[in-house]
Amino acid sequence: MSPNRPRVSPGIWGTVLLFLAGLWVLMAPYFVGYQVPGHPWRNPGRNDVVVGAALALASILGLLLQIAFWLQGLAEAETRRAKAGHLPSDQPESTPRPG
Amino acid sequence: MSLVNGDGPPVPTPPAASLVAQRPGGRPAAPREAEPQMAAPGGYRSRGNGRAWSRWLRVREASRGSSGRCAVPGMLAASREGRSTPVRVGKHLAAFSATTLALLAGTWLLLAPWILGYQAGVTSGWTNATLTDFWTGVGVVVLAAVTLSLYAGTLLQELREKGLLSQRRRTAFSAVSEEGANGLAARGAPGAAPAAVSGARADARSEAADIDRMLLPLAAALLADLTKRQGAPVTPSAPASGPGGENQ
Repeated sequence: MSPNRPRVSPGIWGTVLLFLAGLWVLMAPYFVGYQVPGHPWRNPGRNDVVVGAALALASILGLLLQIAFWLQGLAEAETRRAKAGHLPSDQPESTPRPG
Repeated sequence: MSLVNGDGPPVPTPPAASLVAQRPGGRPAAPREAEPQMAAPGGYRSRGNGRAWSRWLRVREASRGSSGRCAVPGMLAASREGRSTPVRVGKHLAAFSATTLALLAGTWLLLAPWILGYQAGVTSGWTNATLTDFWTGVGVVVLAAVTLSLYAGTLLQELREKGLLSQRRRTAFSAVSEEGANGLAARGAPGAAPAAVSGARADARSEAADIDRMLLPLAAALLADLTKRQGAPVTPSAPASGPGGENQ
């Protein structure tokens, strides 16, 4: 891989897991049974739904922003490479150009 | 065209397109490229101030990214082996923000049963809601901490690769050897001191260069701000070649 290409941090997988954890917290009151649909809200159910939604939202936003920045960096790296004379940036300068 | 300096009369300057830096020996250096976007503040332009001028030029050149413009907010430009490479801050900011929020949410989940009052005490029987929230909170906190450390590692690695952070940290040994060598040199111990002193001074020099490199974009942004506030003319002028001038 070219050193100029943007790299994806392994932490992105942690963010994916945090998103799944947020979904679990959001749905746990109904799965575990301390909040019944249609009944009045109780403290644990309301708390878990709000916190789970916030966690899932923050994780998915972070994930989408990182993907967007990664794609932007990829596009810029390609543009730089094209401007540098169609030479892959990890090849030595002495490599003859094709054509 | 002339720029007024604070401590002297206006100094006439040649047109920007024909700027040629004079070396102290009289031999002209390579002509500098005319840069109409940024001008040195008043203090950097005067007769006999060649050292400050060349320092300003270095700051300006180091602040430029691959596009040739000055450093913009959200991007740090670093020059390594003659090639400028930007460090995107937004990507890391998004990652750190999301993970920090997750860390806070996990901590809240961990403590919510007692703060909201749906768990009476720590030792009394835990309800289903408490068990779920507590252990989910523990898992989220651990996961967020691991994710945060992974992001921090990636950021540090990227900064090292782009030359904004030292490749090698200053070790306790080098600090001790520097102090010891200085002590030996002060006591006049021949033979033992010179090697240790030269190694320690090389360390100190490389660290100073690293710090300089890290601070250059900040200094350039400050200079641009100052220039904008003072309303200085936008065309730079040639450095005067005084007797103490240093041109690079």
